[in-house]
Amino acid sequence: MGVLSDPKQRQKIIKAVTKYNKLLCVILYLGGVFGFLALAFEPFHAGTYFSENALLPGLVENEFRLDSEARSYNEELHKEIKKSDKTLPKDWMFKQFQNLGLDTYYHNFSLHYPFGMPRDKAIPGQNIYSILRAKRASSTEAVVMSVPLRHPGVMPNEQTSGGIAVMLALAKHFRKQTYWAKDIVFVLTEFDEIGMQAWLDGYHQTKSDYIISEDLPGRSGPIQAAINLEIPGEAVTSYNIKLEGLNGQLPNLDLCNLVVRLCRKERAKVTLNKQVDSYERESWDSYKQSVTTMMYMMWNQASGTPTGNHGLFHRYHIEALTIQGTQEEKPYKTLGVEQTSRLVEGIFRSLNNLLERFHQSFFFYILPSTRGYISIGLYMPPFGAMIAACLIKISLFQAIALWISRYEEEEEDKETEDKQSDDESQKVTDAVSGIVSIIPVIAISMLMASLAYTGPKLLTNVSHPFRLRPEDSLMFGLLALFCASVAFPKMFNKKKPDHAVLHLDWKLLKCIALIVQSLTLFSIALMNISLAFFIGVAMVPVTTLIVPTTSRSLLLLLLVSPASLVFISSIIAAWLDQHNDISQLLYMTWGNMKHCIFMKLLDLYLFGNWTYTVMSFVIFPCWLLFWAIPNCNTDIDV
Amino acid sequence: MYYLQEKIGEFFKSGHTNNWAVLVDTSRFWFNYRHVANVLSIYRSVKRLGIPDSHIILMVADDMACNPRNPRPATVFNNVNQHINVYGDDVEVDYRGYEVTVENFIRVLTGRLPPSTPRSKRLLSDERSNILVYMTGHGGDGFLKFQDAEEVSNVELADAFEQMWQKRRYHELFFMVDTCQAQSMFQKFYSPNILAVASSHVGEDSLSHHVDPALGVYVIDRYTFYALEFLEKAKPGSKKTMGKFLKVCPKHQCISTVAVRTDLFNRNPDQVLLTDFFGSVRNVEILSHSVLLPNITSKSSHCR
Repeated sequence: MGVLSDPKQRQKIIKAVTKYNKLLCVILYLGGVFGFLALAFEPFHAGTYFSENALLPGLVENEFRLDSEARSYNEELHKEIKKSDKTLPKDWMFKQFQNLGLDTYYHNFSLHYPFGMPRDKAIPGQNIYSILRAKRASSTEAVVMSVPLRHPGVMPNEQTSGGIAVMLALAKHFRKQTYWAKDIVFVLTEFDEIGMQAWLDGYHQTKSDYIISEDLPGRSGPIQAAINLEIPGEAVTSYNIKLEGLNGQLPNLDLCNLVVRLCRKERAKVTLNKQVDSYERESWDSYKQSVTTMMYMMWNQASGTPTGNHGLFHRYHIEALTIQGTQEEKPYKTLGVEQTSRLVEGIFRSLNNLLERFHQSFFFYILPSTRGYISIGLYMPPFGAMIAACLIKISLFQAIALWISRYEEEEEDKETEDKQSDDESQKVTDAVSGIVSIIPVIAISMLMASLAYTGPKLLTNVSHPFRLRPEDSLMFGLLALFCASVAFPKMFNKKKPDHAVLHLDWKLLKCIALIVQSLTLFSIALMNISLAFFIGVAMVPVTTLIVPTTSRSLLLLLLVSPASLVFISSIIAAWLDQHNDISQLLYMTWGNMKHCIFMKLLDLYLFGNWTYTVMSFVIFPCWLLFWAIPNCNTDIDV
Repeated sequence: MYYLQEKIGEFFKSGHTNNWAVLVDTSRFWFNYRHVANVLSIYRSVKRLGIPDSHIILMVADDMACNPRNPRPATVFNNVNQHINVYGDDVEVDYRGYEVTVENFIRVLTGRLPPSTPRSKRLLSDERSNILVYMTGHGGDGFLKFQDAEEVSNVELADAFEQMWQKRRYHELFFMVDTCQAQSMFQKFYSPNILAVASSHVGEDSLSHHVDPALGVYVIDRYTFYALEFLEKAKPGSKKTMGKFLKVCPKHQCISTVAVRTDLFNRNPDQVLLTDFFGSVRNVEILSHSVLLPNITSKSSHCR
């Protein structure tokens, strides 16, 4: 601390920071972004390993020998599903579980659609679940195997009937075994995540506003882990692991490693977000592949929407992931339901060995491949450097100026300071008096933010009488709100007839805005690094460099406004969906944008997704603070 | 007659009249199955070589036989072939589960147990007792972990042995430990007549031997596996020596380096019978006439 407490030393540092401020900002930002991306290079991150001793992955021999049963379950189910176009053969499934001698129950729930429908009109849904009681243990712990029930008409490409056949065959095998230390709960959920949420609500006796869940007739102990299966009826060629949960929560890395290890043991190809690991380790191609895998994961994580049924377990502190069967055109090896059963058997035997909840390995990580991980300790420093660019800028405006002025007063008699610092201290005195001038801006930003947050509820009430679809009414309503807030500096000006532009202490405002931005980005990064990273990458360079009354600043700021960010992400989403034609891309983007806002709101109401809240209540007001800067007059010159 | 008097010295050459064994498994949990198998295997061997249950203090920190994860209930195997159920029909566990604590262990060694403790749970040794102390579990440099919460340090252990020596609770002591960095456990010993062997040097891990895929766990540690292989070939009348036993499990088998400490021990291990520690073999010869025995304990040199 000697460096900081010694006034002369300190002044040297301060001067250096002031002098090279712009350069430092640029270096920190670029260093942060490229440092972050460089982490995907294999020598820069650690290889995955098992932290939890109790898992004993793959040590036990597979004992599942019911290959023909698994296949016949699959065929029978296929026949049953074909019998009707509208309904799934739930009764058949229920009966199969019951025939195995398991405690099998129906679980009813109803969904109150949050947009535009009368409250009393509810959509009914029904889950099936079945509990295999551990013979020699006390039923105090459970592991869950779940499969979403999907109508073949709704998502023909993402069928899950294979998963149900695997579940039935494994239930038949498992119930004969004596070695279970935990109950196994088999859950079949209707309407994917909605059914899952209803079941979890019922299991944990929690309540949510829009999903009304019946009390569960049968229960087991606290759930330690859950595996969700999305396996189609046909043979698959590889297994895709889906990790990203609600609000970017991830399951413990040990669980992911376990599945990867067991897939390898079964000699099955395993992918993350459908990205295959490259064979080489230190080449440019492998690096590109790693960055792609990492970006796919971060993209999914940033959205905050669960990528599968597993995503809802995380908030109950249950580690969960989805194993999805994928089909390729040129298969290296095909895997039928019997191979999948053996894989899942291995996973459950390892989970059965667990003595306590997953707690050893990482909960915060990014995966650039199945064999390596970037932990929170590795990705935080580059991210911090990126955000530090803002803080350095603040130091230029405020903190340093204050420091310098204080020491100037002390050393006034001693020597004459150079002119620059004199000017700086002059500005500071202005800044202090200027706090009052920026309070209205802050107040308006907060008001707009609360409108943006509460607006959708109002808008949906309006949409019904106007015969608008809820997607459209939300989209137009929020756009209108955005336009209004963009225009707020102009409205401000009308109050003061003698001036055409805002009178504010823009430096103080910028300091506060930068502090708010850094704080919020850091707090978001602790929960959802991907979201914070993407927002940071877009906003930090613009917000640190803006100055009053330049049209370039205005344009750049508009480009990183929340509305544009949603627009840009919609373009990327459309582009990822392989729409390369410009007109088609733009059309898809419009649709995506509407869909995105609508789905984020739906997620917020049904599951408690924070993404909309963060965007409307945190990022939006923060951006509005910056928006006031280029729109204001500068009594003090730049 | 005179000839017989001469041979009496040789008759009591080993200097001990009774044998005791303290066998400790310090770790619990299913994935530590091998430690329980280790200790039960040694238990089985010393029992076979003649130490009765009354002279064995067996401490087992977890009940693997009845763990719900065990696909073969009520058994513990130390080999993938599952030839021998080391849990057997008559295993007498003196301290089990959460009773296996550092405090209980030290109290058993030093004899400072509450008066209510039954005789079967006491180490009732005397100055003519040879004691085998076998320990297995997870250790580090200078400590051995007990359960998941506490550990015994090598200094504590050395002091406990010194207390035993001063309280005349042993004649000779053979200390055998199978854990990571096991050598550190006997480095602080300073009491006389202790022979010690450890499965690994400081800085080395002791490794497990093999997995039983039917159980899905490692079933035995390397050092104990090869030590048992040696013990299995010994019979109660065996003339195998401790010297040979100390050479068991060379580096290519153990992967870790077996460490031995002989400087505290008075005799040459090559002339000490294996059964002096692992068995309870009384030299019995029936004579037709009485022999006058001198009191050798009073003038024995190694007693203070």
